[in-house]
Amino acid sequence: MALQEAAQHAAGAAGAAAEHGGETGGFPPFDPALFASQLFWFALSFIALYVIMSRFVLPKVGATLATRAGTIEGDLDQAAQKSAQAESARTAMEKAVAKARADARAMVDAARAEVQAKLAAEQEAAEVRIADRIRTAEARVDMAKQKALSEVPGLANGLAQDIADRIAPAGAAPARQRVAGEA
Amino acid sequence: MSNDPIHQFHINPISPPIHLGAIDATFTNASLFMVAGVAVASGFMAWAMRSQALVPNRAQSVAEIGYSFIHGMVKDAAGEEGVKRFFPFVFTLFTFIFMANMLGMFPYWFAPTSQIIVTATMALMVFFTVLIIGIAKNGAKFLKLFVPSGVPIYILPFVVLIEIISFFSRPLSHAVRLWANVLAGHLVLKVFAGFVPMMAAAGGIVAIGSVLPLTMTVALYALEFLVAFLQAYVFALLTCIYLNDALHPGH
Repeated sequence: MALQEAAQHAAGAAGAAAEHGGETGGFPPFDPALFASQLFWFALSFIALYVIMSRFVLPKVGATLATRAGTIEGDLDQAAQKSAQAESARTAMEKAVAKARADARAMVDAARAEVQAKLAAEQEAAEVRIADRIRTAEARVDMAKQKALSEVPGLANGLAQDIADRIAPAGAAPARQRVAGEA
Repeated sequence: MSNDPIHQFHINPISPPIHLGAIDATFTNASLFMVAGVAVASGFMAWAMRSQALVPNRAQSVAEIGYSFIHGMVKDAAGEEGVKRFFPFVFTLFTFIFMANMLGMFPYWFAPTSQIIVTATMALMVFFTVLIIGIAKNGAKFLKLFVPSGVPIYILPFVVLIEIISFFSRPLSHAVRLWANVLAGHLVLKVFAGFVPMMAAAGGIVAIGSVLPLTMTVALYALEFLVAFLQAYVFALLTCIYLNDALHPGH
């Protein structure tokens, strides 16, 4: 153990050989002479580690993890919001389509009803007109018939007169009477 | 190097003797590896967290996993309040022990946790933290720790006695568990590794047989890496469980 011997030489007669007597033969973990230095350096290094970790390292790691968690949560929130927006847009669209369809159907129905009403009215009017014309025509026909019928006896008389005149001029009255009676 | 398996636990001064008043503060190999462990752990954490990226790289992932691992352990054992009060302390304990154990795995290096004085100091730190915080926070209610509820009155005195003994023997078992594991692991490794040159030097069939202790040494080395991590974990976990008693002494 050159290192140790050198250190012991450097320590001179200060008793270091006894204090750090690595080779004294005892079991080092149970050598009380070795405790003080270990305790001192343990305290120093442990406190240093505690300060470094609690003041600088751990807050940094914690902040990073919190930032990440926040970012992920925010992104998820945003995604959910967007998805809800899309969903509401879809429902609004569906509603609008349904409304348009209903409007269209109502419009068509109204138009059809209107057209049918108009049609019925016109038909009725036409029927009335036709019946009117039929009636006037019938009346005219009736009148013409009446007139014609009323003219028939006069005409027949005249005709019979003419015929009688041609067949039996002036003196043959009995024949004339027979013919006229036959007409 | 001597073949003596105890040799690896010897503490040798590196600096000339340093005395601060009555305190012997000589820088030894034990001091070196404690300081080195602190330096490596702090350096790594600072380097790994240098960019604090939203999407971590590998080093940052390691740092964050270490953080989350201890954070979850403290939270599970001692609750939200335990995290608020003790998380840096437990994290420091774990890191210190883990680094000491791991650096000690290098051949010719030194494991500070192989010294009972170091593990005992840490165990007593935990013990007195529990005692002081427990009494300061709960006052007389802290004594409920020794009186489990729901125990029939006629055996209560014995239970209380056992609870008191178990409470005060905690630092002993806490310290010895870590120390003995590290010490025994290093001893066994050294013994088996020591057989290899001895048998090889003997020559003949014995020299060929030296492959057996070599295989054993490699296998034990793997086991010791596990133990190095596991004992740091166990020490930190028990610390959390004990600290929980300070916060919630009722069983």
